[in-house]
Amino acid sequence: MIFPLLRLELRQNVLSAASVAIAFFITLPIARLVSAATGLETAKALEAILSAWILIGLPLAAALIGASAGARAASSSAREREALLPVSPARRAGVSLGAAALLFLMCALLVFGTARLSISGLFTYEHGPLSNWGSDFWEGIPTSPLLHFAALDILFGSWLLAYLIGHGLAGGLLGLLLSLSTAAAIVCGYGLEMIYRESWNVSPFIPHAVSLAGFAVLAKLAVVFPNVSRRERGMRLRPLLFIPSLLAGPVVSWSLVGHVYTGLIQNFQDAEPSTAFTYQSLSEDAEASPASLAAQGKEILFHTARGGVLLASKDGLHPLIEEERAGLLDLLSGPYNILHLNNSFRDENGRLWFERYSLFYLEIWRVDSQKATRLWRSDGLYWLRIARLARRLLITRPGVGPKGPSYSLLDQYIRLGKKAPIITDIAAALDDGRKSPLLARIDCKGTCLRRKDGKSWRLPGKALSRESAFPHWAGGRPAYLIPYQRSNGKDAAALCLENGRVETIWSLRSTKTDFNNRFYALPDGTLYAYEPGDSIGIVDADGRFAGSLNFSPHRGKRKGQPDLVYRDGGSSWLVWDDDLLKIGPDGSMKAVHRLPGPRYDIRTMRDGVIVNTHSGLHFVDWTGKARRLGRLGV
Amino acid sequence: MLQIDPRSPVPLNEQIKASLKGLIARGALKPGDPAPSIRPLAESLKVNPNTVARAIRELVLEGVLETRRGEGAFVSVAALRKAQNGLSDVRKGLHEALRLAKRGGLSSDEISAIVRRAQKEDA
Amino acid sequence: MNALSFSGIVKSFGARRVLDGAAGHAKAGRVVGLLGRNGEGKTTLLKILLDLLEPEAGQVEVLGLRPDGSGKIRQHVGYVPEKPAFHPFMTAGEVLSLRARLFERWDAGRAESLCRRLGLDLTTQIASASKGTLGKLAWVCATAHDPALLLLDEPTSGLDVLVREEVLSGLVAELGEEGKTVLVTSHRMDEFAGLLDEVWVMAQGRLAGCWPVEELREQACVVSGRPKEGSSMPEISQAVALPQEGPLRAWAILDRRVKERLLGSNVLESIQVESLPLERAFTCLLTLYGGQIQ
Repeated sequence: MIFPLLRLELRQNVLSAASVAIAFFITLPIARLVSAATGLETAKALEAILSAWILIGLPLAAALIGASAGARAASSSAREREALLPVSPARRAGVSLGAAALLFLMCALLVFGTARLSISGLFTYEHGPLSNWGSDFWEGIPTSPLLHFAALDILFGSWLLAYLIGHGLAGGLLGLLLSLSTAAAIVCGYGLEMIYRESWNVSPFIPHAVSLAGFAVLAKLAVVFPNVSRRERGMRLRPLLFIPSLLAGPVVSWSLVGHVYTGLIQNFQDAEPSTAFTYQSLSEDAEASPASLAAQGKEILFHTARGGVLLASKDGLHPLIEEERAGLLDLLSGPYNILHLNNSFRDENGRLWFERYSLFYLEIWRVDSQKATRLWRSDGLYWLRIARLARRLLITRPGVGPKGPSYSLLDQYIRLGKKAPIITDIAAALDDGRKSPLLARIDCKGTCLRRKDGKSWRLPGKALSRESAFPHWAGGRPAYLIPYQRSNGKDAAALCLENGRVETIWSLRSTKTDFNNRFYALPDGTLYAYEPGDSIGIVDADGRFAGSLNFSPHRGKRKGQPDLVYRDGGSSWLVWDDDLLKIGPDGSMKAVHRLPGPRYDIRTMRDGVIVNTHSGLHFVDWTGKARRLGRLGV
Repeated sequence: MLQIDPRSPVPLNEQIKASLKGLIARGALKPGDPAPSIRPLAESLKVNPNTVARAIRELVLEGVLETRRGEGAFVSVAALRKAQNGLSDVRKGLHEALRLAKRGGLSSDEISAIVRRAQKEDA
Repeated sequence: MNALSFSGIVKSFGARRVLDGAAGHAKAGRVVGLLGRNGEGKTTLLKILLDLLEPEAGQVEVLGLRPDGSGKIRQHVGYVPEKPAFHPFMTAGEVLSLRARLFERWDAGRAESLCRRLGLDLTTQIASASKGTLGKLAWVCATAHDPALLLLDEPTSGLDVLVREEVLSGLVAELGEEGKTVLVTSHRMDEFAGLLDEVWVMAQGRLAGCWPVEELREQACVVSGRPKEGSSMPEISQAVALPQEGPLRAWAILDRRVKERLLGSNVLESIQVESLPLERAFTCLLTLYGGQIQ
């Protein structure tokens, strides 16, 4: 009985879906125009457009398709034409809703399918972050298809309101508003995950979003059907039924993760010092001034949730910026406040500089004789957007040389006195990046790496990709990691160092993902990466491959993989779960020290590790001796 | 052809019967001819088939029509006589009407005018 | 056995109470004409019987079923609306095949022969179809599933003479079947007069009167005369006073007993009694119960 009606509804509503599809296809070639205008790679521009479609276009399409179907179902002409069929109004409404949902899902399939295609090489952007369903372009906001249960909520809400009001546009807009409560709850959940990412072992975001959207949709259906029947049969509506529809999202969200919210609020209200959620080590991409180099691994900047900034070293904690009593608004901007200290380094005079930014502003601070002064603050979101955009477009941290320009506001500011030329457009930012003296090209038919300043390295084989490379930073020095193919057909990596050396790392195989993600650097310049089969490949500070360390014999009850934190004389120190392990040159375990805990996170320094726990900051040296540095927020 | 006058106060089944009898009296329908089928007659007269069926039934009861098993209704042998008998009532009625008219004050000329008009209508 | 019955029906639209305690019933096989002025609730009543509207109060039973909002009743009821509406992008044939899949008792052969009889071209696009075509299509849609109850809302309005003839013939053909009940509204009720068993008059939100048509045909008359000297005019309810012509007074009377009472009251002389055709009788019914126009 349903199929003929469904066919009828699909036929009537196909126009709205078709216009979405057509709009989508029209925007794709725009990538070419964007690329021509801004100098952005076509593939990157395409990624940006696809991300925009996933994050903004599809929700709007859901509202459009839902609202037009709902308004059509409510129209008097629909009623006149269909009322006499022996089908109840509720069933007709259900078929209309179902048709709208089907049409939307087809549009979603189109968009996601195209996005997926772009990363399988069709558009030559092989390293696309969309392959991880996380858009690099949009600061890691997930663009997973699972997120679009929320869009279904928008579809149902728009249908419902367009139906009850009888007007498509109004219904669509109100439907978007109605879904805001669900969307807000999802965003809050995501914000929470970002805050607690490092101390949670699970990732609750997706189940949270899915169940939220599911309940919100069910609540809307519960409003739709009773009201549809009443409306068609000339009875008064029951507007109170709307309330469950509005509340379903937040109520479910609260019941799932509410205790975390209340804990956070509690935290903020308490006089007790709050926990730090992240911190920023002295920037690896900073100018390699002697002071900076010396400071690497010796000092670390912490930023607390309530705005405090402290300098920590093995000797203690030194507050630079006092904590503020945080209001509820700060709670909302919290994740951004917390996560972004940036660009900290010591200049030629040894003074400490850092950038600090939140959702709303960007600041530059300088520390003179233990006192921190804010030198500059942006107004509005504008600077933040540009600064972030510039950073993203340049993929990794570009080099800063004594002569070359850089994207960093701070560097410009310092370098050119107080008249920092402001980055006003993407082209300029890109130009800067392109002009970076540290950008190196693959040349000689894939067999050499050549830098603008003339420095070149001969690769031991043919490079796997012709993409230009930015250096990786270790110990304040640039190093290029170029995947190549060996003569026996296997893949390997060539490490090209500043001193001209080219070291082959044959066990650290490349994949299609960004190479930089696979390597970790220790403060003294040691590099390591995880190899298949439970081992760590190590490249020492001089750039020599120091072999693989197999850690599976030391697993015991521990989970996951350990972090390498120090190497000295052939011995390796690992942090694994709650322990600091010392492994001798023969691969056997020499010492186990329990680290202070439970911890939020841990950072590697030159002389030990700094552990951030509930009870404060602790410094643990390589003999396992722990010293409490103090609490954050004091 | 069978006709009914929607403006006449005479009940429809009576009109149908009278019209049928008139056809028989004129010789348009002869004994042995099949009676008109109910459905087509009802459709052309725009009357309820039940009404037609009732008229036919009553004519059968009166003997103007007779049924043959399995074959429906036919004009009976005695139909002509019965139709003409039926007409005697009409004659009586006409006589009575004229008497009333005269008593009521209508002149002979007026009466004649009416008769002429009625005849014209029939034609 | 009642094909349909309803009692105590109350239905308002906003502040306006359209049906106020309407009650009535029709036995199976009856053909009923629904008389009433515009806005007196005829269409509303039909929609309630069709399970398209829900009354605020009252009981309804149609063919032994109670309307419950599910639309099941419409499997057994045929409705020709005043303005038939179909999806403009369909052809007549598609309209019928959609219904063929939704109505359990749809008879495709019957539909086909109906189309042929009415001269309905199945390839006609609805968007460009004439009123007559739509009327014919509405007729087929209402009858092809052999419903036991037919509700016709102004089924011939706006149609040209030939199509009207065809619709009427079609209706008579439907009546040939046993037990089909029909409820028809029309401003030209005289067209249907030959088919009707009774008329219902709707006024003041209820079924104000119920008149068997054949009796009406026989008994409706106009009594005119000159009031006798010195006599007072009697109060005559159940009669519609017609405009005075000088000293002459006249009444449209629908019931034989009322006529006899008037004649027996002996207040008139030079009495003339003429039969009132059904068409006029229906108008009088409306006046009697509605009481506004002359």
